[in-house]
Amino acid sequence: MSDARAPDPELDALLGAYALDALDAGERARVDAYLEGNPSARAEVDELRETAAALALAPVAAANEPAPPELWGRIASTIAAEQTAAEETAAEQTVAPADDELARRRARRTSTSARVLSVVAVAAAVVAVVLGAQVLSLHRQLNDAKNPGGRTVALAAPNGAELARVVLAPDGSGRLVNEHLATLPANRTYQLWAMMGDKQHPTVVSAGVLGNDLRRANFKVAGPLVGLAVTVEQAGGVVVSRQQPVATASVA
Amino acid sequence: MVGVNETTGRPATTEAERRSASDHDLALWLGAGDEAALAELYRRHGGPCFSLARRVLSDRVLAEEVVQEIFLRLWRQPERFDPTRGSMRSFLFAQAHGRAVDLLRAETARRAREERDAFRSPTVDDDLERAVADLTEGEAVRRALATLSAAERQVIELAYFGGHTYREVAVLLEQPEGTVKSRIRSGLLRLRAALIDEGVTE
Repeated sequence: MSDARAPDPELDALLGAYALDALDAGERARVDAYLEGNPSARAEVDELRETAAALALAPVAAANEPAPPELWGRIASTIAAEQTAAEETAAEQTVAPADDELARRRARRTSTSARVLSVVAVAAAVVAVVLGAQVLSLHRQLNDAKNPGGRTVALAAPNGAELARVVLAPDGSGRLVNEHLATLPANRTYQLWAMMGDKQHPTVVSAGVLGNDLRRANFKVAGPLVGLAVTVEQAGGVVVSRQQPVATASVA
Repeated sequence: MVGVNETTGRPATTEAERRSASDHDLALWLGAGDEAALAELYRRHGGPCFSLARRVLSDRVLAEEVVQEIFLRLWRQPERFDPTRGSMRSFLFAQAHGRAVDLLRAETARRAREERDAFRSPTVDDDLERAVADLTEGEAVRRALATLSAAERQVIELAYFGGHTYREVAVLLEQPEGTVKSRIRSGLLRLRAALIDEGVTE
């Protein structure tokens, strides 16, 4: 319980009605403001909302009602239309800086042709970095990438969409460049995992806790790398992940 | 362990794997732009969301708008779902209910509804009373509801399914506002305890 604000019995009495959306606009605004400074009231509202949600299953027909299939068609076509718009935006922004958060978020959901464009954008960004301060290490890696020993791999979502690229050098060092992994809430972090050794039964080791706003990250692994994965974890990272990766790469 | 398929080194990609994934996993994939994860969440929760919105609005077309809007919003802003504050399902139900109530309270929707309601009983329909044999989750919720006093049930049902504010419920039932307000809260807290007993809520 925070001491941000004292409990107010009058407002506490409204929490049930608040959880049912049964307040008028004025009272709702007062409770909204109250919840900002009162974690215990916030916790009660979360619990009561969970309870209210169960009510939705009470009507006999509700729990087993199938989702209207024609409605999914409308949702999917709206998404497709937005992706077309995003492609046009991405095409206009091919030369935009990779650090432009808005551009990154706009281009986040892209179809194949837009992805090709964003690869061009990332290549431009990589070149810009090479010309920048951190020249030596990356320059070596890019040179290595042209050689049989060095390489670039894509970290991809479960649906195959490329989310980030990794340049791997023969000495086990690597550099990850984020393309489409969104900024996480402050209490989450991306974490990179290296799969080492046998491809069928790899040993999974953490290759770095990357923070919630991932742009670029350097890492180094010792031993034969067969794959990479990125998970979302609580801030600070974990020793062993229980999460499904948001992106993976196979290093053949 | 990182849940990578051992033979391919890639995470779940097939329909079968998505169907067995948790809501939490699907939410993460959603954050990575996986439209199939949204489709799976829609398959799981779209029906009850639609059913709830239609019940509140008494209007199929408006209910479809609500469901379309909340799933598109989930797609565009998946970070608004915070798994530390509750389940994906209750998040979606709360979104559907809140949006339906907003529409209901818009004056035009209200007028249309009142015209329709002139032909219906103002009380909650009797679905809740209907006996069912199987031990579904809905059945567990109905048993939990049955542990409330009749007065608590009535105010909660009118507020939640009727989309009424507690002040409107007080007018409908000719009860003091303070009584309705406290019955809603005490009833919900009792319902929560009963749902925990039924194993529906943790």
